[in-house]
This record gives sequence, C-alpha cells and structure tokens, in this order.
Amino acid sequence: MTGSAGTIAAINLTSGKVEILEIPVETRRSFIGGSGLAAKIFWDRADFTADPLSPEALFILLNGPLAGIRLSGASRMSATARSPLTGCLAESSCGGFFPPALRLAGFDGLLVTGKAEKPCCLLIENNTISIRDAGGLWGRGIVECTAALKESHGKKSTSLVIGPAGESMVPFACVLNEAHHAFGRCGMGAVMGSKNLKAITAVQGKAGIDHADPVKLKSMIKELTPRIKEYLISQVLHDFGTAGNLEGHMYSGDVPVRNWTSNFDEEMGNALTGSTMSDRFLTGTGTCAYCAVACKRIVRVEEGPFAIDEGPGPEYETVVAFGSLMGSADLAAACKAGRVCNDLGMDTISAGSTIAWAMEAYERGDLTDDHTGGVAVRWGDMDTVIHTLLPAMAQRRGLAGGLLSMGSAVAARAIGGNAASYTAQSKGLEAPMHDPRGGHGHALAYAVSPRGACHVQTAMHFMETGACNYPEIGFEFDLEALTGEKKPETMVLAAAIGCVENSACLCQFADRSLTLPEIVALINAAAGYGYTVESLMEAGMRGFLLKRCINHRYGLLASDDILSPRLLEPARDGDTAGIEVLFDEMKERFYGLMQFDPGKGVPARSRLEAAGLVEEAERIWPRTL
Amino acid sequence: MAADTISVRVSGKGPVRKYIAGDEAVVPFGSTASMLVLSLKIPRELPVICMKEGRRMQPGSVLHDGDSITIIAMMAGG
Repeated sequence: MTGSAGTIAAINLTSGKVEILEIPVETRRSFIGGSGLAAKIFWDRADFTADPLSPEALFILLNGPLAGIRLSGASRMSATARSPLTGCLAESSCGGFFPPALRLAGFDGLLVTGKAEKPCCLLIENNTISIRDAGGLWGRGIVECTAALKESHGKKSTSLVIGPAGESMVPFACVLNEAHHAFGRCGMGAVMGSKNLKAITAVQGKAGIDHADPVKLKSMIKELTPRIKEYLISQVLHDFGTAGNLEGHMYSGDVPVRNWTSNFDEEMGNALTGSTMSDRFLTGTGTCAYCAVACKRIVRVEEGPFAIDEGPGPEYETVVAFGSLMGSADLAAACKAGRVCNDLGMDTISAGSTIAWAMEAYERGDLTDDHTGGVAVRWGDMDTVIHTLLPAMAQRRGLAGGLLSMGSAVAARAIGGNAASYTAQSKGLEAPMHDPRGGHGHALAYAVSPRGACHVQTAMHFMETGACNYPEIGFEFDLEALTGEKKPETMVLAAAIGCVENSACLCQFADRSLTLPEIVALINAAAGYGYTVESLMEAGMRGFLLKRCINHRYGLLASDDILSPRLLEPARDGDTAGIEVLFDEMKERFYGLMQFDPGKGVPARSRLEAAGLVEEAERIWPRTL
Repeated sequence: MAADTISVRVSGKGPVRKYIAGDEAVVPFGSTASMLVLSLKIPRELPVICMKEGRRMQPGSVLHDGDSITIIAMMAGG
C-alpha cells in the first residue's frame, strides 16, 4: 500500500464480483482523496439516469490520504452517492474507528453497486473482501446488530451498520459506526438498504502503510498532538461536548427555536447546553480512533420517562433538533431521542427538523388528524415524538410515519397549501441547527453547498464565527456576522477549504488549530503529493466545482441555490430581530467571483478548464458546430 | 472632575464563564468592549462578542458606568 488512497475495491452485489479500481496517482493528487476523489469517481462512473435507490446507483466509501495515522482528527472518511432525499449529489462524513480499520485491512475505499439477492454484509479482512449472508441481522436495531458483528468477528473488528430505517429506505436514513459515529446526512443508510447491504465490517489487520516521509510524519504527529489537545476549543469540546456553547449561541441568534419561528429562548439555552448535560447525565467521554480531544458524550438518564442506560450521548445538532427546535427544554428527552434515532438509523437533523415542521403545521391546521391518522403532533410533546413518531417513521408505518419519513420538503408538498414556506431546507436537505439569520454567511453557504443546506461542506461556519484564520490565503477578515459584507469573498475561500478538509478527511473540530501549511505538510509526508498551499487550495476548489457540475447533470440550476422562505424571514426576537439577510446580493456577488453562469449555476467553461476539469467542461458546455 | 474608572456588571456564558471572576469589572473610563475582553484575559483563540441589553456590541463600542455586559463565545458546535 501507499500513503495515498490507492486501493479501492469495486464490489458488485448483484454478481458478487470484486475488482480493484485503478486510480492514477495524478488523479488522486488532483482530488486529494475523500469527498473530492469520490466526486471524481462518481463523475466518471455514475449512470446519471439511475434512481438513487436502484441497483445501478453508486455507493462510495473513501478514506483520505491521512487515514490510519495516529493523529487527532484524522480518523474520518467520506461517503458519496446520489441522495434519495434530495436527488442530487450526496456526501457525508463520519469519524469513529472504521477509517483506520479499513486501511489496515488493506483498502482505502469501496465502490458498491448492484443489489444482493438477499440481505448481506461485507467482511473486509487481510486484504480480501467477502460477501456474507446477513439474514439473521436484518430487522435488528443498530445497537444489537453492532454487538452481534463484534462478537462474530472479534474485538479488532468494527462495523458500519444500518437500522430499520435504512432497510425501509427512509430517504434520510443514516449509517452508524460503533452505534455512535454517523454518516448522518443525505440518506446513505437508504442507499445501503436498497442494495440489501446491512453492514460492512472491517477487521483491523497488519496491512502496512507505506508513507512518503514516515520520519517527517512521525515528527509532526508528535509535535501536533499535545498542541491539539491543549487548544482551548479542544478543551471545551472535551469538557462539554459539541453542545458546550449552546447557551452562548442562543444569545447570538444561532440556535433555532420552534421550527425557526424564533432564535432566542434563554431558558431552553440554559437547560440544553453542554454544561447542563455534564452536570446531569454525563458519565464519561468517547472518542474517534487516535483522538486526544474526546468530544463524544457518554450519558445515562437514571430516572423519569426518558431514562436510558449508559451509552452514547447526543451531539449539539441532536440536542437542538430534539430540544429547542421542537419547543422542548427537556434535555433527557433529547438524549433519549438521539439514542432512539441512532438505533433506528435516522439522521437526527432531518428527523428532528421534519417533526418540528409538522408541529407547526399541526398548530396551523395545515396538518390534520386525517394526515396523521389521529396522532396529535404538538410542540414539545416528546413522549409522542419518541414513542410514536420515530418508530413509525423508521418503518414508514401508518399515516404519520409514512408522511414524515419523506422529509420535510416532500411532506410539505404532499399536504400542499402554504406548508412548504415554513420548511427549513435547501435543495430538500433540512438545515443544520445554525440559524443563518445569526450569521448571514451561513445563508450563502447553505444555498450553494452542493449537498443542500449544510454547515460543514464548506468552512464558512468556522470562518464567520472567527474560529479560524488563514493568513496564507489572505483570510484575515474580521467578519461581522449580521451583514453580508465580505461573505461572498469569504465563501470562495470557504468552498475550497471545506473541500480540502472533507477530502483530506480531517475533523473540523479537532484540527481547528492546524494551519494550512501544516495540513499541506501532513498530506505531503503521508502521500508524497508535493502540494503547496496554493496547489492544495486549487485541488479543493477543483472538487467543489466538480460537485457543482455533478448536480447540474442532475438538472440543478442557479434557481436551486436558494433557501426555503422561513430561513430568510427577519428574526422576531433576540439580538438578530428585524435584521434582513441580503441573500440575493450575496449570491450574485459570489456567482460573479466564481464565474458561475447565472442560469445554469455552474462555472463558465474557461473557469472549469482553468481548474483542470477539461473533460467536464466539454460535457457541461459542449462545443456545437 | 470625571472619574478615572467605570464599573460594569459582567457575566459570561458557556466557556467564557471561567474567565470571569466576579460579577463586576472596573475598567478605565473610555474603555471599549474589546478592551473589556482583553482585561479579562480571555484568550484570542476563543472568539467572543459582548452583548448589552440583548444586542451585540461592536468591538469599539464605548462602555458606560453601570452597563450590564454579557460575554459569549462564538464557537459553535455540532
């Protein structure tokens, strides 16, 4: 093996055939790895007429060039497919233990096509891949299935597993590793389910990793590890988790309340924040492989209607989606809801957002008992959410379950009327729990992100909040959150940096303290790509542009780079009340800077060619004679 | 004769709490929001904003005696 993402297996579940994909080193260098390289593989191999849940659909799992190194934040990987939720390019990132295990089992990536005749799982061990029967696992929750696979394949094994929601092809079904780390967004679990693929297990072996400069790499890891651990933000994440500053951000208008009708509720902020979780429920911390930060929560709720045994606790997104977004200040309920979603295999953002939308629709009378089969969907009724709605959604059971399992955008269209106006999404993907009215750059980022409303596909989220600085590329802006000023210029950089991070498969929290030159040096030491900061940024931008081209082949246009109306309504209370988000101006300026065609929403031919996307340019802008 | 110093009430949210020893800070007359943050020795790597009466302040906003200031971190999770 090499330090680069070189060994990718193509597995056809219909035929049972396994082949090794040959990816030229220059292609790997051009797209880094992870989400960028997966986009290139997708572009080259996808049948763009294929339904996301058809046997022809691609499902790509790909490591980055740093997989397997013992550095905090380097144990992530990317999943890529066509999303059954949005119909456009889907990508999702997951930490945990699978990325290094896959590499040490002999592979850097998997390209899965076809559909197994019966439920199956993949076993990856000692440089071989076998397709196993999974009949006994089908129908089981993720926790039970994960434990069964661990028992079968030993302590050095680790699995990616789907739950009942994936089996039912709920379009926002997720995939979990160790029942704690999620490929959460865009419906990767449904894609696996459509292929009758219940799980993928990698048994960590002794496959060597032949790094380009192992001495330099070892030296950098030794130097960076204590610095990452001692970095102030790392310490906050360790002590209080990703919800550690929820109460603070409630004041800045970042945290949505009651389906985005508000973004300020002090009581909810205090009740749901990370320090409250630590005081009331925390029993320990969890981590991804080799990470010194350990931001994951281990919780136990000892008593009450939402009691849960010790186990994985919720992230910020889950706490808000099943807390303030539903008008609930009950942190125990959010912990329980997160646990239930994990076992069923549903993305907590899309599931929570869809239910919160339904709560407003029910209050307005747009959603009635006729739609829900008599289930009342009321603000803050967490008992109904946890015990009735979530199980029904995962199994697409009953009227309420069937409707809400489609996601908010489709469900709103189904009930008609004005219901779509108060969804909170872009391209059909429900927005994460960061209100663009509390940081106007988020509005632009959500709209132009290839996968839909997303705060981690680009780096805008961290750049706008001042959590990072990149002097090497001219980003030393002191951004004012509540204006559109300098946001388009920032977005250009954020698009490239986000793609770099998701292609190198770096954790956006643990590696917040890394500089761009340090990321360059790490990748060069691992993979020998010879990047400079400039060429790495070019590779990131190349990936971003390619993803936009893929979406265009699915029919997306500039007019799809929008937010649902709710996300742009001036906020009603708190610090951001009454302030208008000048979205159209930001978008127009960004399009100009990126040389995006104002109709097609893709870069001009010359821009694509300058980025090295020559074949892609020809496809998007064919020369007609 | 004008006082050399002013007194402001200060509270912190989330990770800012640990940098605020009491509930009052005495700062030189004419101090700004950013000067208050500096005086509290909040590290640069933890970006913060100051809020007054529920509204965020510009870093250069001048403080007045008796102001009630809430300082929040701008690190957002998840």
